[in-house]
Amino acid sequence: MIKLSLQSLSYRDTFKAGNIDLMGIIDQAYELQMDGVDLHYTHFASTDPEYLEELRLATLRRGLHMCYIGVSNNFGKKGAELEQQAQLVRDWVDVAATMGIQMVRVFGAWVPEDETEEDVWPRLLETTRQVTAYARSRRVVLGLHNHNHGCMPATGEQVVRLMDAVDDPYYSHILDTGQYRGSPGASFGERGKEDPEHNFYGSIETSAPRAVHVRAKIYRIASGEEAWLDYNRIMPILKKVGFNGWMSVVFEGQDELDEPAAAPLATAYLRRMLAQHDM
Amino acid sequence: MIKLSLQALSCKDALDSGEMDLEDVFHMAARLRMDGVDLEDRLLIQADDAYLENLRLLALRLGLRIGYIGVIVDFNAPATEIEREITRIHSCVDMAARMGVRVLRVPGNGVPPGETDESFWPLVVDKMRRAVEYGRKRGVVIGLHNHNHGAIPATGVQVVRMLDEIDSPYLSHILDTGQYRGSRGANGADRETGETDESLYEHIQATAPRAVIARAKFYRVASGEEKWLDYRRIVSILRAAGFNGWISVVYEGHSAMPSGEAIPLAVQHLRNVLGEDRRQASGRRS
Repeated sequence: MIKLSLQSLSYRDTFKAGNIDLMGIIDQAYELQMDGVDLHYTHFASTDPEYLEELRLATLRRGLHMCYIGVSNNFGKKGAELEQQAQLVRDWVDVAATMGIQMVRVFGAWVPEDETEEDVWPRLLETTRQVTAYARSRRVVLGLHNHNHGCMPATGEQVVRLMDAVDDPYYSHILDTGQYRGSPGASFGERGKEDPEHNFYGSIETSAPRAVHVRAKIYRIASGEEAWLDYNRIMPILKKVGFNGWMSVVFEGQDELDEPAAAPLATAYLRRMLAQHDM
Repeated sequence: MIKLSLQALSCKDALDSGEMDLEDVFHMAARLRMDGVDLEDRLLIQADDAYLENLRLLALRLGLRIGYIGVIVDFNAPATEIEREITRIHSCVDMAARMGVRVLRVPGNGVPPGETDESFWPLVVDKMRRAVEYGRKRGVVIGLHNHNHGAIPATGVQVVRMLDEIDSPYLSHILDTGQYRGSRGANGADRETGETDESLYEHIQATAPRAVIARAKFYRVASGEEKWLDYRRIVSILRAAGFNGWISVVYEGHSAMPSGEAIPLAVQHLRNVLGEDRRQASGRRS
């Protein structure tokens, strides 16, 4: 069955205010009877081995899987800055390996204003190959996260193209339901409006067979139902490809609803959707 | 939510005959839309590092978590064998650490003829303590598995006592629903004619709050419901204890029904019970 995990970024403002930490996220996931947690790298209080071990033991006691560590890299940088970005990924691959976490979430590249996607592609590919080789040496899988907002890969075709070019079992895919080009949550135009020029549900359909993890974006949940994304369309796509892994709750509607109120609503909603679609 | 995993030994008949290999077990778990797989050291004797790594990657692709690796213990072995067993436990801890598997299942030990539970207790505690100390160094938690058949700990009181005496975060508990004293499935020769004693459920209740994994034994499931264990009762006990982890389906009724037919029935039975219990719990809350 599809399992639900809590992405710590769902509490990003609460983190910023100092009102929650990763142990709090783990407790919250347990309170909501979820099945896992995703840990964003900026939310770690430290990488001290004792602290990492505390987190591991806490998740085991609460019946939670540690799905991945999320790293926000940008392989659109150049020169020394690009190397710094690669090192950032390698550093968190090491943390994941220490914790026995099988996957690290990575982005592709933000495209600088004076370049095209094709200009950036060669260094994105080369750097990705290099960090994937390192991850392989540590037995950690990199999960490519589709992302718009000037980033690529931002379409299903781009995800498949990059994965095929890297062609490594240690390079896999984390599918974000709200971050394909054209999504109401990730359009260049007015937020909340789908861009009809881009078939973002089509992008989901294209990359779904490659996904080992799904991030379910939630933007507007005050009514108890997600208003911007149509999960009655998304769930059948995932079902059709036999997806059986973890689905993260990723709340990004802080401008509408407080995080502590949103996470339980989002969890209950996704659980209901999964049950309705027999997943 | 409580999740379901498949203990690979459930397919013992098909693995022994060569009809299935471990990868097939993983695919079976995915076909049944389960949430994990569990392994045993005896199934991995010939596995090299590359093979184990392939299993890890396969689990990720199929949406499964490898929950624990189990260590077989010969409950009839003399006390002199304990040193050899500790060495083997250490090598299994190493294997679990390499695979990122968090828990190693270890039953206590058999009580040799001429000894009593009490007289042999310190030796078993010492064995487990040494296993736990090694596990701590490698970040692997030892899951103390209740087990009858002349072994200890075989009662709820014994499990709690051993956990408390060793008192380490690297010692936890794998609760086996069919391996407490009083279970029909753990009564040796009497199992075909015996009955489940009420005390079984008291043992389960005593250790459920300490469990990080539960092993759900299945012996007779041809009717679609397990006959020798009352899973409605057991799931209620687990839920009341706040259990949110994996229930590992462990099929041991091969003499009555092949695993290929029994496992889907066992999974469906547990799913039905988990669903019923959830609905009742919602009703109680509303």
